[in-house]
Amino acid sequence: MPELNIDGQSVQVPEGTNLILAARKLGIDIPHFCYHPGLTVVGSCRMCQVEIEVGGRKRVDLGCANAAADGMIVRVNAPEAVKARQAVLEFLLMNHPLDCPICDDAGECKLQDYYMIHGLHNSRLDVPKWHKPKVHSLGPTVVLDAERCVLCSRCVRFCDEIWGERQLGIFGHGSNELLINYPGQELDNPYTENVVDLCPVGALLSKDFHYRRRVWYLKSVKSVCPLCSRGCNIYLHFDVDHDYAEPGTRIFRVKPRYNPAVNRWWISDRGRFGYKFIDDPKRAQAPQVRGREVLWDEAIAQAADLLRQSPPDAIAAFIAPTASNEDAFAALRLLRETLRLKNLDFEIPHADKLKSDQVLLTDDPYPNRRGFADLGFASGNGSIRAADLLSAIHGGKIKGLILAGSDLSALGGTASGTLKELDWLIVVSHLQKGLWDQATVALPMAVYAERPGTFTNFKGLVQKFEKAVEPLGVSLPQWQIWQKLAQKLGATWNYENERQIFKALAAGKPEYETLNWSATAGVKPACNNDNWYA
Amino acid sequence: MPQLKLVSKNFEHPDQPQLNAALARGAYEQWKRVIAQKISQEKIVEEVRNAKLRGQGGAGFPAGVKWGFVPKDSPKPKYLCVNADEGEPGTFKDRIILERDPHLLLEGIAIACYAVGIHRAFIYMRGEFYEPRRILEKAIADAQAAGLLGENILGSSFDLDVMVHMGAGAYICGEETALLESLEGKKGWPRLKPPFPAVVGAFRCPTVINNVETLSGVPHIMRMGGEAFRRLGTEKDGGTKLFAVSGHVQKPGVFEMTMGSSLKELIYDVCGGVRGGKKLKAVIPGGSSAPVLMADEIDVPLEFEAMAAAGTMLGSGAVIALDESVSIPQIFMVTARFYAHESCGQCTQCREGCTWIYKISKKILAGLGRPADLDLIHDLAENMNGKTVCPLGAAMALPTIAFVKKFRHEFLALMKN
Repeated sequence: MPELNIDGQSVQVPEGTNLILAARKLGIDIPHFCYHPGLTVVGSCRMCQVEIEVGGRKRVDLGCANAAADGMIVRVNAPEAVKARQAVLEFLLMNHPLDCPICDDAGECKLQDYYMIHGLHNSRLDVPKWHKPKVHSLGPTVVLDAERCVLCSRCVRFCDEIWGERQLGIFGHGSNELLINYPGQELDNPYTENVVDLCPVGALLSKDFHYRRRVWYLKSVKSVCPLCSRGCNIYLHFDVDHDYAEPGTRIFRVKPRYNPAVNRWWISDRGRFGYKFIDDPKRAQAPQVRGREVLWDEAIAQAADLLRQSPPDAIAAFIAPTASNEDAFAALRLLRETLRLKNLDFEIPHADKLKSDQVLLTDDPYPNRRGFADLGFASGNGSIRAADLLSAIHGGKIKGLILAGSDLSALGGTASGTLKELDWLIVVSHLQKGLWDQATVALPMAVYAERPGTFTNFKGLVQKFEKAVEPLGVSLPQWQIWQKLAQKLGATWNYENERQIFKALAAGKPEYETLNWSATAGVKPACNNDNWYA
Repeated sequence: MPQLKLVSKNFEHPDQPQLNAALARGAYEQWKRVIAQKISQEKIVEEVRNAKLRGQGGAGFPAGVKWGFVPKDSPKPKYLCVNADEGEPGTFKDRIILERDPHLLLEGIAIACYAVGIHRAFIYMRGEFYEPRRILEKAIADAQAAGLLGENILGSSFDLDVMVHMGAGAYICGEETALLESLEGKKGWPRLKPPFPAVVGAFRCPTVINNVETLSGVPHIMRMGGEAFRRLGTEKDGGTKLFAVSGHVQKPGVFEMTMGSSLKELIYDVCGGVRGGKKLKAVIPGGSSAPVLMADEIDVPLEFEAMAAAGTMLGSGAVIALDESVSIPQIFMVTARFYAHESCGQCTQCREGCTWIYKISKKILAGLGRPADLDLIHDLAENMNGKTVCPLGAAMALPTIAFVKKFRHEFLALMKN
């Protein structure tokens, strides 16, 4: 392991580590545009020039393309290095339109940040600037402002190297060069918006986020994507303090959070755009009994009555594995301990598996199937499974049904008709869609962004997500609903919060016990999520 | 004896491109000798190293040393790329070899490939070289038919496939790693070095890249012996060099001179001096990338080190003579326009700097310049020089600095109003 000195501090790094990453280990930022640790090194922006001294000989050279060596001395702010970087910035800004006030990237733009550190010069340009396309749609999700582009080729390399299809290219030469679609190609793949994260400036913009919020108003929490079983680490970016333009919208975007063991720097577009249900206008906000809005106490009392009314063998419960481990654990205590049900299932048969690929997406659309399995949620032999549910209802074996987080539409077109043969139906859902209106008792559930919890991904990795915003209306986290029902039915167990449940469910499971619940980051300004553009 | 015809020996014979005529004048004799006498690879590399044969494309890197960098134990195939992308403004020496004596080049290629253990050579030709391509491809076909190239050459079990690849007309593809990218079918953007092409080159395999003229010297080295070849030139620069002289001389053209001859001799004795009885104003000695020399600065030996000491470079040996009728700001604008157009656009400073300087040069010519513009040009050039992936940034910066410094008065004269 070579040991080198950067700005007066010693650091040891693994063989082959470049100077940008070595400096980062010390918390020192070597400015750069084109370098990204997930992509090949091209050394074209020339922004990462630092002074490197080896064996008494000094030179100004690239931080990205030079590996740390034993005894090397690096001075990030040596006058020659600063001058070289200032020159690069001046050249980059030469044709830049300086339209920061209307740029979505303002506030998280490397040109702005580095200008504050290096620039502060008056423009020496008195010849006309180039003009390039200002609003060019590269594909269904991304729009290009070519005048802001610094031609770092990160987006090109992402398509080539990570997704594996040439969809973008840099064409022409000299300073009228243009980043644009490869001939006949759209920027259209399951990971398109990663190029927006990669773009160090405001050239590639998300059509979804375009002009919706100034980024410095956004706050962020660490979360886990619930849109497939990979469990990609994400940030949820939200703003509840500014009501203009989109009243009722709280979550504005999802950004990837670096995790080398799961998703590295990337997330899929499925995960990125999957936040919209959180602020869906059809969110369930209050409990209902037979279509009438009621208070929680009445709804729980009514539901408890229904549960007492049918023998345990005539009741089935299906909890979709979109729910967290804490929800599943509380559900088990209610259903198996208190009610002694045997017809439990979470394996909702779904006709369409996701299209998986070599990057991140798995074919399983649920985030916590593995967690439910680890907790022993499925029923044993002789029980009625989801696949046989409709015929069991039709045959009169099942009289009461509890559904959480799933409307069973995947069971077939006749589902809602068959469900009318039930004596009662309890629905726990975050949306007033599907079977909500048909439920005897309908209970509104908070979503993952509104409470903390854990998911276990398909490889068995247990990951915690944090709370971004308050539950909508009077909706409650699913585990609280199960706890209220259990207590109404005479159970004495009580958990104060998700952390207590997690502690209980993790006991004796090493892969769960290793998760450090208290290591929370809390709510941070979104602009500080430095690692999306690493 | 400054003028010496070695590489250019047979340029005067119109039938030299035909194999029979070339054979009658001794073509492929050294190649046949290498095969017949089973001369060892080490011996050939040694001779070329002793000959101090410098890369004639402009950089002047010793060819024998370059060959020595190729790893001997690589399991990958090795390649030779012949750089025939002659694009430096003012340069027209490789073209004449390709057109007048293609078999000399092919013999050099064959010996080089044999010496390094290469079985496939690509000749990367400038996109505009239609006629040289026709002549060269015919020469390759003839040599193959005669068993001098191709499979099992002269019964030696040594195979060598030579093919021509045409560029698409970009100056940058004469830079060796941009050439490799282009050869691989990609956009011609120079690569970061290291790794150098000798280790990771074409298709990620070890690759030797030599200029046309460099390889054409190899048969002569084999004939004369490395040491004798070197003695024609100077201590560090062996043999001869072709100079493509253009501009305002009585007799422009390609002339072969021994290394170390004087630039002044070349212009006044060989090329007959300035045409029309005018006075010499300046000389650009090594293609447009070489800093300009004023008329009183041209008594310099034509060798790489001496030219560097004079603040310019030998480059590709393209000598452009400018007489007193020439406007330097005009020449400067044309030069800047060339680099602004040909900058590949990869590195920030070169991409933006070339264009910026070009725009200022136009402004000055239009009479709208201010003296401060000259300082700005100088500063921008300093900021480009040596700070980019490839030398194109420097190729713009260095002549820029020289023009503005040495002919400041001509620029200022345009700013009188």
